[in-house]
Amino acid sequence: MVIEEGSPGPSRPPGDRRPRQREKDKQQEKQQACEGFSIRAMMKNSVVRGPPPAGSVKPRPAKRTVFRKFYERGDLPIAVQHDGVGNKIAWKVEIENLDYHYFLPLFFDGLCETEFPYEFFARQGVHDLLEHGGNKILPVVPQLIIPIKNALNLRNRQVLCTTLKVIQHLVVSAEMVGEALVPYYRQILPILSIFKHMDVNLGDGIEYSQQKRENIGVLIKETLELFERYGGEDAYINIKYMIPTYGSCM
Amino acid sequence: MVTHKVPDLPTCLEEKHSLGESSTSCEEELNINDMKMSKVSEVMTKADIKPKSMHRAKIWSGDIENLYRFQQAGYRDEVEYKQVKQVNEVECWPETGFVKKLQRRDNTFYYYNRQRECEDKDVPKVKVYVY
Repeated sequence: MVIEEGSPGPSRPPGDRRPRQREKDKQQEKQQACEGFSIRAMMKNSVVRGPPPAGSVKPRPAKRTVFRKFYERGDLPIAVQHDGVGNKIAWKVEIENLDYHYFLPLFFDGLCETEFPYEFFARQGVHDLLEHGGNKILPVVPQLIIPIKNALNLRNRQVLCTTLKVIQHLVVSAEMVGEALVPYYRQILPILSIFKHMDVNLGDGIEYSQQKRENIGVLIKETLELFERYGGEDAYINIKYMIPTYGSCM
Repeated sequence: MVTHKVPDLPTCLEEKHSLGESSTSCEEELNINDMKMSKVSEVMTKADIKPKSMHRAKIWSGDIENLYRFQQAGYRDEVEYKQVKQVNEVECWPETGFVKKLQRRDNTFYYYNRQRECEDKDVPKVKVYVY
């Protein structure tokens, strides 16, 4: 008896399952998708749709920058040299004689650009100015925050990569710059918090953007670690306040 | 290395005019000075000196890095730069000793990084001139 009753599992013909599936399908067909918090949403056969995407990582349209205007007007003391190795900036005046209060924020403003030659000039110009600025950089730091914030707020992947690399260079460019940036974490870090998770777990796959230094998640992690290393005592607690998922590297 | 082709040398000519000396005395003076100067400046003093041979770099080194920087700016090497720009010193990074700033022939400036710029793929592009 028991054997006869217990037999249905494996030996049951496949035709027996179909009616159940049909019933389920019918039930699903009856269910209607509707908006949340509506009267229809309270009906038994209704399924509430998820919320629309908020667009927190959606790129914003770029505006025309002051840097572009100045370059087109011929106000910047730079020229491009096309070499076999790669393009390079030729400075028409010595960097040591430049007014950093005027030129450094101007070049930082150009970080919002994505087109050649503006993007190249801004990126390379900032690099040269930071590399050769020394003590002149520290007093200009407060003026750099708004251009950095504007560039990050565009949420354009290319601009984000460039800006993160520039921030990394800025932090190590001179003494005390890392500490001078701590009061401005509230302006800089919210965007980093949004993009921090943008790092895909590929298992044992090869992530090519890592070699090219275009992986935003990794760049943000590096930047935050630099902030903590160079930001002094208060850096960690301030970073943690803005980005709760950040773990200390020290 | 030999100092018998000096007459074209601008510095030497200046001396000759100012002091009213013959070219041979100028040569002697140069010989004495050359003993004290480094190898590079020794070659530099002969204005019209031309390299005898050239070969390509194979392995990166500090010298190759500097040559790369000079050649990016449009000069053969430090010797030619000093001749053309009439300077005694080239600005270098104190940490690494690499060239920091060069003035091109069109009087624009090239600025170089503190760290190595010449990547391995660019090393064979560097020309090493032998005098």
